Amino acid sequence: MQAERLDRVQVFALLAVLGGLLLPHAERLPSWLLAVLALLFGWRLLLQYKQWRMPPKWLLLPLTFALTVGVFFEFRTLFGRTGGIALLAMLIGAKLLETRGRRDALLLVYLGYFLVVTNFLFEQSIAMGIYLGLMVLAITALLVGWHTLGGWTGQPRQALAQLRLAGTLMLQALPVMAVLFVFFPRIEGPLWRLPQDRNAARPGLSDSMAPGSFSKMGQDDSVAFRVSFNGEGPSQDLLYWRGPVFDHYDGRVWTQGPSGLAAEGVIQGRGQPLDYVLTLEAHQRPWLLALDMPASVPPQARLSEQYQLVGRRIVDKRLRLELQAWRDYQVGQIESPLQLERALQLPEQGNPRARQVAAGWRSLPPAERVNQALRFFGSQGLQYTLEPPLYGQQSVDEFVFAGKQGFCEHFAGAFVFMLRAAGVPARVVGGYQGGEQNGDYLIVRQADAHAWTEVWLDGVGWRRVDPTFEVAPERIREGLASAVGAEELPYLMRLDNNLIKRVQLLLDSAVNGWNQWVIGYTPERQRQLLRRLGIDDLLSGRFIAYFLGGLFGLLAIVAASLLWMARPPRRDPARQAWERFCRKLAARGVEIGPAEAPSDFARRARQALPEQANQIDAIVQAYLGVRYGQGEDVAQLWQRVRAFRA
Amino acid sequence: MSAFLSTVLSPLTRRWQRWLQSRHPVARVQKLTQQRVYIFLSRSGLAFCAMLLAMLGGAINYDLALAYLLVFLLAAMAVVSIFHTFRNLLGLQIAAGRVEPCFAGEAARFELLLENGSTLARQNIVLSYDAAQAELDVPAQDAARAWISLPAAQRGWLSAPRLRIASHWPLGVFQAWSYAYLGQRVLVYPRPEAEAPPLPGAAEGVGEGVVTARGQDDFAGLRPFQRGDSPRHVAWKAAARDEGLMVKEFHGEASLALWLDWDALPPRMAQEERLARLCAWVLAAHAGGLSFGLSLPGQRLPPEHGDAQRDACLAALALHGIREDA
Repeated sequence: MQAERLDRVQVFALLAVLGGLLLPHAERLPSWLLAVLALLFGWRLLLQYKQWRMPPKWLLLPLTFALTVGVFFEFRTLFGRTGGIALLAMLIGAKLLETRGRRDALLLVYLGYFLVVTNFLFEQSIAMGIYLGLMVLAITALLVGWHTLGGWTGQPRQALAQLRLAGTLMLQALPVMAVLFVFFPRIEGPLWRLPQDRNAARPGLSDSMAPGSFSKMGQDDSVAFRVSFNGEGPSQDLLYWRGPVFDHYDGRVWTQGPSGLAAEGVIQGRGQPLDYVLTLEAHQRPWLLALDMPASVPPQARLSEQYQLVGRRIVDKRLRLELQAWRDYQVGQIESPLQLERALQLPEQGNPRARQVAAGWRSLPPAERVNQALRFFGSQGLQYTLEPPLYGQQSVDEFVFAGKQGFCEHFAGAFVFMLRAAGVPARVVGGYQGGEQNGDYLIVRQADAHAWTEVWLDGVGWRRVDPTFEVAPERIREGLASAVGAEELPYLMRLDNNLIKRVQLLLDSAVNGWNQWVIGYTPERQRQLLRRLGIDDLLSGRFIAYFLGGLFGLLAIVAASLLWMARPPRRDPARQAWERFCRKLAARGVEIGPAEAPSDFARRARQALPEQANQIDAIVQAYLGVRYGQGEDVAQLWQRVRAFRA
Repeated sequence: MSAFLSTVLSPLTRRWQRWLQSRHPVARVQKLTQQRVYIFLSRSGLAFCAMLLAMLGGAINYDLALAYLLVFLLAAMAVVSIFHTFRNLLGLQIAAGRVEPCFAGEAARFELLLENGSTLARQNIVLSYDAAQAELDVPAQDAARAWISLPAAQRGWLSAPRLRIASHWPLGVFQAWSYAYLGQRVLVYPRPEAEAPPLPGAAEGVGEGVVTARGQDDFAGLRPFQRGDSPRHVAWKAAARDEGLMVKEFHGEASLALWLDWDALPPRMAQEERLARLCAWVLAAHAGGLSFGLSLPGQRLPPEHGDAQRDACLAALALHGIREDA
């Protein structure tokens, strides 16, 4: 059977499943590679339909080599994510051309399972999970078909039976899978890291602030992070999610200066800190986001001198952070001269009008200068818009005195520029502001990106000041959607609460649950959950008892029910009587054959024991009568069998 | 080295064989009980495990929750499949069926019967005698039969080796198997000489070498019934007197009877050559519908017609010089 040739339906099923598994990779592979892959699949299909001979080895080997070289030149590597997948796809294509029999096909079926994992490298969404779950069902059905006599012959009934068996196996495996998923000790990856694995930058905050860098994000409704508060969350206008702090200005771009670690206890909070969980999407940057001001530092992070949470490594996967925030705090009352000096840095020249206006405020005390600046911004007739004009070299002057249209980065940048010119230490803080409540959690999207400022006042420390608030207070109180025209916004950010939006929000809460409980089940999450079960140590007897107990308990249930179904049926009394009769005859040397019908057996027995022929006849008649329902009762059969003298 | 290994291993192998035999006593009918069904990873199951490990490495390295989920799902499915594979064999009853004798150099056929008393259909059961195997499904509460052919190299008794009953179904990751010593054996007739000379009678005239013959003309007495005897010759009156089945014997027409005589063959022929020629002649005589007898050293089969005579002669040739229970 192993050497059996694949028939048309089997080849088609195999190609369909492999094709379905490679399909999501299509967007990641170059078009020449896709064309070659389609060619190889088509070739194999044609071979089957035309009954042509398989290509010989001397053709296949150079072909495989050429494909490998091609992949190498495209990706400059054969490993890593995309290069590795391209190579795998090519090898599968080449293998197809020498797949004649079941043994080769079995290898391809196993590779099918492996292809499922390669898809997870790029996407672990619910939809992808469902799609690949169905593909696993299909692969398993193929595997079952491979081991069933006659295989997958293309008869719908047989195919359906194999799919059903595959599904049954998967369902029976689910409880054991769940126990393994929860209890199997998780190890913090990575075991190895290839330089190619780093993803390209994703949309999100960038590590510098140039004009337009925030307004561009206003069009992007993808999720930046989700937050669930323990208890009541703060009001919308207090939701300042602190990200990178920009304190260096070169006349056009704001960048982050070098930053050391914050001293212990530099943030003094009052009252009860707010507990919340923030699930940050991967953004390929080192910083994390936290509600102003962080009250604790999670183990994955450090606190910078600018009170910014920075991850220990680049956030290249979704991160679940348990955080605390002070709503009422005082920070940086005693600031180092170096920090203050950096908060006053300005380029040598540029924006003369802004400098001139700011110089006029120098006579006021520092706190008054800030108020004066806010009043100034409020009185200039500035407009808050997602589509500001592009400003040139003197961007502050052009924005404040000429164009008057800007987004938050223009407001924050110009505000800090003027305060610094007026001699008040100030800096730009990037991050997100607000968020959308969805059930018991908050969705913060890329479009919620915001920039605000921080000023340092003697005796007070750093204070948050948001110049955008002066111009467009509804942006801060009610969110972006109320501050700009609806047509400027991405669809999901608009305020009208229509059906599609509600469905989207419903889906998002499913996604959130999925992210929290399935995707986000990390080593820390496992430790937490186990701690709640009273397990502190993976080596403790309690853990082993829970883990193995759960595992073997479930397996025992599965095994018992499966074996129970295979038990022999309870023998009916007629059969028992008949067997007793057979034993009696066997003692006389007349043995029933393994597949002998009772009537044939009776005929032999009559010949061998002619003097008991009548008795034998009566017993056989009674037995057949009971068996085939002609009125004879079992008691009579038993009576006759007992009366029979061997 | 190999000599050393064999001295160390052969007692172990013998012990192993003895242990197996004690667990699986020789019987024509054998039931696959729980103690007799073994299960372990198959070869493709090892590949499956290697693949799972590779996938687990990927899941850890790239921290892919869904890859973890898949690895655990596949592992759990493999474990669950243990019970499916195991119960696929469990409770089956295997019995030795008929055998088909053959000539040396051909394949002898053994029939095996599988009975499934349970309400669960059994899938893809593989029966094998060494390398020869047969596959079959056994429907629920039904029986199925399979024939296995074994090459027969030598004349004499061919005993079937240990029967292996195995199943990979449904996933092929695990293999369940059991053994049965059914004691099946089949008679292998000598290989008939390829281009044997014509029958001695035909060449040298009818009647040559014929001494006496038993035929169907004159009643000669009673002898016990044998397989192949015509029912017309059964002495039914004797049977009615409870003397067992007897067959009436007659003196036949001497001129039609033919003796195939070992001693009449050229003296320089070796034993196996003689057997081969006699075998070819027996077949030729039977095909020609002749009544013939066979004379071997120490054994004489009086002339007779028919299939029973042919079989008796072939058996005598097959076992010539071989102890009956060898």
